[in-house]
Amino acid sequence: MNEQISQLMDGELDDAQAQRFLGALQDSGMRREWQAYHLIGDVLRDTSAVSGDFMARFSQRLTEEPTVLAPRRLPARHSPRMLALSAAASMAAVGLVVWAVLQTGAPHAPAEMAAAKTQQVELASADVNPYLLAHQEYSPSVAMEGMAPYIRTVSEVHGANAR
Amino acid sequence: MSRCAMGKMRHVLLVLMFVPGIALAESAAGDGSAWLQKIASAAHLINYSGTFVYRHDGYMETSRIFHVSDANGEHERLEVLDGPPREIIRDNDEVICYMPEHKAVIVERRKAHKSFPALLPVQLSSINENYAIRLGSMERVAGYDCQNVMLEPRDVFRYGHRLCADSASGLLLKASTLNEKNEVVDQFFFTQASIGGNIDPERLKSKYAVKHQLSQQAMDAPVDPGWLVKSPPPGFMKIMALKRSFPGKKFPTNHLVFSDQLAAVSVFIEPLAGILKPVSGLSSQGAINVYTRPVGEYQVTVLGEVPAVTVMQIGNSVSLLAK
Repeated sequence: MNEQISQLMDGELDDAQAQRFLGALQDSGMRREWQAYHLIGDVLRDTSAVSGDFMARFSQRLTEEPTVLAPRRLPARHSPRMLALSAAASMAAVGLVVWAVLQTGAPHAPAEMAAAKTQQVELASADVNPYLLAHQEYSPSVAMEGMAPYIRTVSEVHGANAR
Repeated sequence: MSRCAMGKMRHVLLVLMFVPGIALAESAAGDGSAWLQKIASAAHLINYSGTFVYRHDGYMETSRIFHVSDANGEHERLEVLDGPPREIIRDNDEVICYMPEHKAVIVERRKAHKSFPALLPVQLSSINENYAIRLGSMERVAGYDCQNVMLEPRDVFRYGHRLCADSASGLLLKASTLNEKNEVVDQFFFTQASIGGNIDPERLKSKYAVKHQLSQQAMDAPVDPGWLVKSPPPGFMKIMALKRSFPGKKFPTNHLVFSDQLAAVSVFIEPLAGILKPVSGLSSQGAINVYTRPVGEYQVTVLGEVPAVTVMQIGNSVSLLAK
């Protein structure tokens, strides 16, 4: 599935596959994956993040948007062909809307990024140090730089580590 | 084949093995590679002692270090001089780490991986693929004339490094880790160093008498089947995968290491059931980034001396294949 995410992002899926995949995106787990992929892309491109609750606020405003009641026009005569075309056009429009929402949904990923950023967890050194010690033993930087990098293992953790 | 012909072939092979090394040393990049070799061997083969400062996130800590290389191998002691007392002692493949918050020492025994006082050709070529190596300016550190060697990352998945080594012995006296904006993320530098000579064996003994020992080590067991890191960033290859024990942990932990032969990223996977306070998120200290997230019934912890994006990409691509 993850492979499909990157394929879709790269525009490598054909329409039928893309449709099936977009259906699968309804699954919240999948959607998180999808957002995570965009998040990675955004981080790589150094794109500024949209505020965390963008999607929530967008949905909220959309539901609050008044329904515009406009006087109905006199029915125009359409040839069946025109109808079919306009139906296709609406389909395309729907497609576009879905895509656009998904696209804006993607910056929702920076929400996760932001979350990840604000979710700067503070790890107790007692929890991290054993991991670091185990890690250092296999890091080539130790082969290169000798013992000094081990200072990172025992270095004091100072309050919040947010950068 | 006669024994004589075998002997000749062996000579030819030996010569062939050295030719690429010579050819490399002659090119400009080769100078950098030769310096990396010199630094790597000096770190293990030279006796030295000194005082160094570790600078990260606006903090500084001073430590003292003693390193002895003799017929029995390598022995080291590192003692932090400010703040709470902390100490690391290495005796070849065993590292003993004294940390006051444990009121005990942690003993780590390395397995399945030998340190080697030189960079293998395969390591050098991987470093060359992922970093542009070039010689920098000369600099004076702790009274020694030092040569700067720059390792500029070829993408955003690794930090840059500026290594400054004593031009005579090759001992690394200053090392800076640089982010994509060329800002120093963390740094070690000696303020005083004695290179070569004998070191009193007493200097290698622990200052702390601790009865309580907690042991952690790699086990002779492969990682649980089904765990997969689908898309590690380019250049990061899996170099190790083992189960290991940690003090106070009920269940063994899966430990995978990915590396570009300079930086490394460890992936620890353990059952959530064995964790008192599961956490999820990103944390950093100096050049070390830690990313934690739950995957099914497991907690995945990814850490390494790499940018946040690297631990996140690796962490997010960890998955358990259905059996």
